[in-house]
Amino acid sequence: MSETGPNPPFILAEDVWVKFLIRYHRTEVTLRETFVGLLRLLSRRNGRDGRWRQEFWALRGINFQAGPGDVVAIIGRNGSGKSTLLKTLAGICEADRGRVEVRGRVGCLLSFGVGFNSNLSGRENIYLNGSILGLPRRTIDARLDDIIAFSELGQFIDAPVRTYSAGMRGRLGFSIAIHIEPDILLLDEVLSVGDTAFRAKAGSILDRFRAENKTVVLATHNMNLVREVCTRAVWIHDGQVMLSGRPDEVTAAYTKFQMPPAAAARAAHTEQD
Amino acid sequence: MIGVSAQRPSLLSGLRELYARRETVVYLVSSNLKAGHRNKVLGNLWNLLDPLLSLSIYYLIFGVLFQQAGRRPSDYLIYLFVGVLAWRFLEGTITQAATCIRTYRGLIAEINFPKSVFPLSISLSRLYDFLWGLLVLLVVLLLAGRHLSLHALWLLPLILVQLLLTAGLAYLVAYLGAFFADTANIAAVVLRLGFYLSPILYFVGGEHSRVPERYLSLYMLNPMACLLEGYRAGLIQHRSPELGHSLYLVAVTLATLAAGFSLFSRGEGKFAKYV
Repeated sequence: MSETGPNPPFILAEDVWVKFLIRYHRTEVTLRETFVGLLRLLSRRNGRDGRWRQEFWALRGINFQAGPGDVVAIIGRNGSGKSTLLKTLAGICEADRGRVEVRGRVGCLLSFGVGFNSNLSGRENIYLNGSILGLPRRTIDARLDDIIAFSELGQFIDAPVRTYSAGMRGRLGFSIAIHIEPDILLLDEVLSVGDTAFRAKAGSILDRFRAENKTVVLATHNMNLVREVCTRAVWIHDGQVMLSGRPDEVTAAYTKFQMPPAAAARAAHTEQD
Repeated sequence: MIGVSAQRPSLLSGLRELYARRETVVYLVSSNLKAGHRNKVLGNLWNLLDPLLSLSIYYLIFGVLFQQAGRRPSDYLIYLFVGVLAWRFLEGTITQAATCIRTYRGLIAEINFPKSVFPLSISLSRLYDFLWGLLVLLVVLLLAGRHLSLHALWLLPLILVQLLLTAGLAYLVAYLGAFFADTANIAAVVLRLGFYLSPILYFVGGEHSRVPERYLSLYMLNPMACLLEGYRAGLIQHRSPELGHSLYLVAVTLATLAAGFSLFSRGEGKFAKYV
């Protein structure tokens, strides 16, 4: 992790392909199936492309770019590749083909509080999690009070994390993540945690990022959020970019695409009136 | 982070990355140790009780029941204690390393950071336990009326070698465990076999040797055999470890570490997809 440099944040993905092997996701393989698979592998009749090693291309030739001041929304149906794209940009998944270039410190918020050790207190977890996210101890010391204040945990900060509610965990995780002061923030449908007040606070963070010429990429199903705070929207379908452009245009096309034919006809009819 | 493109990470850059994350390793070790005994009535006393209890079991079964101890019970007890302690260090690390990538799958799937911190921090946590065990061993030695000589200083390089050997194996096993969940089962069997193939429960060399003379050089190909005999040389027999064995041990250790670490570094970008 390089320190925040004078260079503006920048993300570039060129013709990125990412593959998953389905085999590794199967957990209930019976002994009989295993033997059948082995025999098949030995006889090479079905070879490597048998039922045991199915490939699945989650991303198929994605081109994507974002620069300073961009707040880009990634929209698309479940399983369309939104999260995989974010993980690839974050460097969590390797691209099997293509090129990914990222400049700037990445604050990756795919979900909150995953790194918490539930037997340790909230305070101890701030140090552990902050360190995993790449913060040196001295920086955590300096920001500790802000992190605790933003999380609104108060006296509970010294209680073990296993006693926290989901919302409390989410608040602590979000608070740690934004205090990394990243140049690039990657968010995966995480702004929906916490109560209304906390969500408003989180929303204003996005505006602050844009004002500070940083880069935000967020995957979301909330079309209002896309229209209100994003500068650009990218619609992904089956691992490919369907449309990229102004938020209102892309969300309109996406909403129309998602509607069943009857509802679409009704909507068109209403528009005519 | 500049350029996450598809370039292969080299061994050197992997080591540099790990060094940059030394603070994270420290936090992982301390949280591992802190959380380990926190909910127990006896707390940190378990650091002392664990090795003592397993020592007593082995002593009762193999020393008394199978009569390995013979007419030199305290010799056997101390001999056994050294072996059991060092083996627990190895076994505990490997067992934990086999599942570590899966244990931390949540973290690995959500945050980009060098995964190489895990096998190392597991090795260091078990080293901490090992050092507590050595402390108990020293007390036992003094109670048994033994004394320490300057040769006991050999312990320091030997402990370092064991740490490196253990960490190397931990990287190897962690890599395999990320892709094949079966690794934990296989590792358990191999460890069991290794336990009986190492000089822990029985004497090797000398008048009470259980290993026939002509198989001895073959037997000593096991690096743990060299290591354990080295510990005993410095601690009990007041002499230096055998030079040939030590050189062989160091060579195996460095090879294992290089192989394990570079293999693990190559897999790092793929873990998030497979666990």
